[in-house]
Order: sequence, then C-alpha cells, then structure tokens
Amino acid sequence: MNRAEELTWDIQIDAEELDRLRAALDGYEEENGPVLPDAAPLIALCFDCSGECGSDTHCRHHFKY
Amino acid sequence: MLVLTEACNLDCVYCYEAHKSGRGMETETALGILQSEIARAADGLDIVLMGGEPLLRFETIRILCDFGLESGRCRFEIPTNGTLLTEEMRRYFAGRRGGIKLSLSADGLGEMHRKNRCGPAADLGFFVENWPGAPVRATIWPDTAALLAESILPLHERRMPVAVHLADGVVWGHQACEALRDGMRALTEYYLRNPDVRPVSSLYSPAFWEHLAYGMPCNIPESCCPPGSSRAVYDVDGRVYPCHMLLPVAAGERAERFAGCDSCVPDGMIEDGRCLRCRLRGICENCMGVNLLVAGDVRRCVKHELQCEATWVRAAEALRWFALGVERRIRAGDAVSAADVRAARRAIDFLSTNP
Repeated sequence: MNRAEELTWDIQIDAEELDRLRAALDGYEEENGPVLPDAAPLIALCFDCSGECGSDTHCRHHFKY
Repeated sequence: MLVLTEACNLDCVYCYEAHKSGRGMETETALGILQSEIARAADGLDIVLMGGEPLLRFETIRILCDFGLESGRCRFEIPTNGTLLTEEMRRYFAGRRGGIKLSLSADGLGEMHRKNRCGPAADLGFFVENWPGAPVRATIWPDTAALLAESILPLHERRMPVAVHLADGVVWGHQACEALRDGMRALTEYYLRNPDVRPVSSLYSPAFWEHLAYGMPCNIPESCCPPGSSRAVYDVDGRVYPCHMLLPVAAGERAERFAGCDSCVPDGMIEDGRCLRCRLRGICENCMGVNLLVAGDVRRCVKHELQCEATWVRAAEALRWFALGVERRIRAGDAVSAADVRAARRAIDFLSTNP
C-alpha cells in the first residue's frame, strides 16, 4: 500500500490562494531583485532507507541540515 | 511538582486522571518534601502545586508558600480552574503575586468551556489583573472543536494570551479535524486583521514556521518532554514519579513500575513506518505518558493513531498564516527581508504537497 492510498485526507489549501501568494513573492523579487535560494537546501527529506534502519545519522530526526 | 490532592470540583471530559480516589497529601509530608528539595537545590526552585484542583487544599498551600517564600529560594505556580477562589484566597495570592503565579485553566469563554468542563467559569478579571502575561490554558476536545474560534476570540478581545492544547489520548477523527481547520481559519483571519495579537501557542507553534519555513534546526527531542528530564513529581503519598502522566491517578496499576524514579528516558522509541517518513517527524511531539495510557508502553509512539491529521491541520494552518502575513506585508509596502521571502516560498511549497 503506498502513502497516497493510506491517507484519506489532504491539506486542503486553496490553489488560487497559493497562486496569489506566489504572485506576491514574484512581485517582491521583481521590485527588489531576486532572492537567491540557499546554497544547499536546508531541509532535505531523508529517503535513504525505508526508515527501519534505526540509524542516528539519517533517520533519527529524518531531516538533514 | 507536588500533587496536593486527587480531588477536583469539575469533571472535564478530557481529564486523564481516570483513577481518582480523592486522596490528598498530608501537609507534613508536603512540607518535608519542600524542605528536602530546598536543602539539595543548588539554585532557586520552581515548585508546581498540582491537583486535581489544588485550591481545595488552600490551607496546605498557604503553609507551603509561606515557608518557601520565606526561604527566598522558591517560586510557586498553581494551575487551577479558578472556580473556587474566595475573598481570602484572592487577598493572599494577590499579595504574593511576585512569588506565586496562579495559572488559569479555562476553555475560552462560552459554550466550549461549559461543555468541556461541566462546571462554572472562573473570574478572568482577577487573573488578568494579577498575572497579565500568563496565558489562559485551554484544551480542545474533538466533540467541541467546532466551538474553537467563538470561545477563544473573546479572550483575544480582552488581550489575554492563550495557549490551546489538543486533548491527548483520544482519537482526533476526520470530522473533528475538519472542525479544527475551520476554527483555525477563523482565528487566522482574526490574526491577519489584528497583527498585534499573538496567535495561540501550541496550535500555531513557532516550530512550524521556524523549522518548516525558515529551516531552523528543530530542538524537540525524539521523545518530547522526557519524563524526569527536568522535574520530579511527588504523588499524594509522597512517593516520587518521573511525570504526572505516570502517576497512579492517571496510569493506575501500571504506574507502580515508575514509583521511586525521578527520571525515565527509554532506550529508544518504537515508531510506525509512516512516522519515520513523515515531513513533520522532527516537530511532532511524542508524549510517553500518553503512550503508556494508550498502548501500555512508554516507548510505543501512538501519536499517529490519535492525532496525525490534527497535527497536519495545525502545521498547514500555521504555515498558511505565516505566508499570508508575508504577502500582506509585501502588498502594504512594509519591510520584508529576503529570508522572509525565502521562508514564505518554502511554506507555499510545503502547502502545495500533500502528506
């Protein structure tokens, strides 16, 4: 069973609202110059294993920095 | 923390103390514990006097507080439903408000409080006057989640800080989560119109935007609030336990194995595979007391069985409030930093992807 089948609910965020939010951020960057992304993503999901390994280095807190 | 009594004058629907017997701590026992703690403490002591409803033991409270304050080493906090305050109590606590904080537990103003607490409401004015910065602690229950906004907004109107906690140990089903989402959206609209009002803590936990939007490291340990990590809890018979959720009044016979321990940090937690892969894992609080009450094992995480969708509702609405706030500031021409813009984009990315 994959995760999509497991879950019967979703975040339910209005797509039009998200588009409006992105437009506001785009407008900010047009006016103030581009906001550079971080050199490396601060948060990366860990899918190095299925989560069963118990490793402290990549699964314990799930996120890598 | 000293549990002065198991008795309470209310009968809240979400009370975790399922084994109340009405027992109380002898005043001599309580005083002996206080003297012992003062003697071995290197610094000042923060003492919590708990119940049941602790104000049922006002005479004991007065003896303990007089002794502790006289020592110059103690500060006291007394969580209370506030419904038993007499004039004598008001004078006593108001006269010592620098050393004693009464922490009000009330489920907002209105129907939610009446339904959850099965009893009267407290006089909020006394608490606002004496401890204006102390949050009112409200608990929401799945069956009354639809009353969230109408109960909390009047507290905001009175400029009272509020902390809202989801009832533990019960299943937050889809319908209750829909009600929670609707309530939080009404609160979000209010916060956007009133940016000087601080959103209720816990529901709008800063961890959501600090960690998921700004990418700050998360400091919540694998087992949130490890029992005994910073406090000892003395039961009514004077025995020490690592956490109030692990007392006999809450855990019944299963509490016996924790008697005499002032610390309990399990070797490792047993988590569901879905939790290990969840984007919220780093900030999803895990209560060992609830694990014991629900699954019979402090290590077996049960949050996903009870509050998974509710936690996602909280995270999504907190990030939505954050992103809408950045948008509003941009459109108003207010100062917005590049870090805010980056964080808002991360929040939007998060909201664009389902769990």
